[in-house]
Amino acid sequence: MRTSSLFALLTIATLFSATRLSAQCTPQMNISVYSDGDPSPDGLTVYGYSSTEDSSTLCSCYHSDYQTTAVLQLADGSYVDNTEPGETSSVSAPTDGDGTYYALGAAGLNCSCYGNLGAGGPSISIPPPSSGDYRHRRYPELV
Amino acid sequence: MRTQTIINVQIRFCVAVILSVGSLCAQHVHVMSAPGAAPGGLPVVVDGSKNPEKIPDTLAYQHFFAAFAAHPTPTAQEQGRQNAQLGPLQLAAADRATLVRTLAAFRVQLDQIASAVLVAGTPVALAGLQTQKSTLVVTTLASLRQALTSDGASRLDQYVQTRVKAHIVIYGGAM
Repeated sequence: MRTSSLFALLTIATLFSATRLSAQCTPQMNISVYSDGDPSPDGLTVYGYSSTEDSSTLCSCYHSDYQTTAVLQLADGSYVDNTEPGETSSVSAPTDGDGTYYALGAAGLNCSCYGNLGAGGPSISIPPPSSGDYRHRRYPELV
Repeated sequence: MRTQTIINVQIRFCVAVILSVGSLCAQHVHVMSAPGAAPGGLPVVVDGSKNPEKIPDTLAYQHFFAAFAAHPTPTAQEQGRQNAQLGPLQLAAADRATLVRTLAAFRVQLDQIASAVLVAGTPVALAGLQTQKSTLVVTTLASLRQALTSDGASRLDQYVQTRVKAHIVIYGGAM
């Protein structure tokens, strides 16, 4: 009788601790970055833009100090960038040279549990606009 | 201020790596590396350029709305950026006006949520604001689908499915 009571107690204790373990929250990071770019309809300006979304399961952690950076790589190989507090950023530059332009982005935030986090978006080559005027001026071979 | 500087340095590091290596980058400080990730790196969970079907629709629209929205009275920079962004969608004038109007309303509400995030103070409050933002995306998408013509809704969806999803990278994993 005493043995069976002890066994029952042990079983209850095991089940209780298992339930507690499964109820524990594990932080799950889920941070996404979107980057892209487009030329203006007249082809005189290129725009790069980036956005960040944080869908992390935070548990007892806390995320703050979000920053988003948009970067343009210009036709001559130089870069312009703009960092904004928050989850979106954009940057622009005049199209003063033939060649390919690229847009890319990056995000940063502070996690109270794990410190500073950063993530980069993809590097995107910016397509020419559909306007015939722009194609004639910058892509004469397409007209 | 110091935190901002540190994050800025990290972003610049990240951008520098992207630019020099031409690859994706995630820098993660004070965190154990996940298996398969570069030392100190947050692993890529989904690369939209390779697996766009694994990017959830709601997330893709969330990015689209946030990146394309301009304020009801936009600055010249905002206006120029949005004009450039909307060109490839090739919407009819009425649909374009509807989208711009809806995005402006979205921007106003998103700004309010963003302001609340700054002073949230607790993980519970922050999680509540995340939920609020997700709800905003769902209701904005629903109202857009009702307000756009079927052609406009189809063009928008095609753009989000093919172009936006391909330009999203999701990082993460259990910590």
